[in-house]
Amino acid sequence: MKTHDLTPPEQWLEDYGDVLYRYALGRVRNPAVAEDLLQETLLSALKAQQNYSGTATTQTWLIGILKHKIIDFFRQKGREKEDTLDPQSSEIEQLLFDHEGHWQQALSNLPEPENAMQQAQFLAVLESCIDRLPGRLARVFILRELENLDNDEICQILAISSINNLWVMMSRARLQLRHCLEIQWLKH
Amino acid sequence: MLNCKQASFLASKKRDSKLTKTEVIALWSHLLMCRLCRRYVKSLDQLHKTFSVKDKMTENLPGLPTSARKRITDMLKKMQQSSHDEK
Repeated sequence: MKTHDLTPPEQWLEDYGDVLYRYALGRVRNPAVAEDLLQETLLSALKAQQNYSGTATTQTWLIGILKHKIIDFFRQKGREKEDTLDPQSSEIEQLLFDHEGHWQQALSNLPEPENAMQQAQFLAVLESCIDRLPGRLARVFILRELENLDNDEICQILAISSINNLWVMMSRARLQLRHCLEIQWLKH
Repeated sequence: MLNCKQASFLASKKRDSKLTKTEVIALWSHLLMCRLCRRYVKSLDQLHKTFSVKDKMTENLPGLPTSARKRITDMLKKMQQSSHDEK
């Protein structure tokens, strides 16, 4: 098995600062928090240098530490307050469905981005739509779709009382994201 | 029969979990008849595809701000200095 050498700590920020910062920012959606998590990650890494086994590249190793910091941050956020989850209908569901549960308005097809520039614009729109999700829905969505954690882990991290609630939240997050994309991306 | 709201929930749940046989059949028969829900499923697939490209999402984001870079560099130097001093 190929082993890797640890890049000297003096170079970490230079070599991996942007990658780590973007990774954190894409998930916590807040520059100040992303900076803090990056700093904590490098501090932890500095203390844990001896444990580096060489099975991963320095970047992968650092991202692994950062992932833990991000999850810890989400866990704290999750404990702050349990939003009441209305089992019947949420704002987004009331907006999109009529009283019989049919779509209020015809959904449009979302055009696929055709080139790199459109792709970049699409991503920018998508990010702004994620930022419009209520915090708790955004955290559930990010842990699921970006971090690929499984249902049980997410419930545990975010203190969600049942797996069904998680599915309800994911469904609402997707409805809202899609609705936001339809408005923002088609307007483009 | 499912309505669209219930179908959208099952379409979303299917992305996170295995549906029961009853749910599969209910969703499938609704989708057969409902063009809008088929569109909804298609856009969920599109969304998922965007997220599954590894770190496509973060490529666009700004890099580490210069002020933060300097602050963290100084902090790391200090840390390394103090750990050297201890030895």
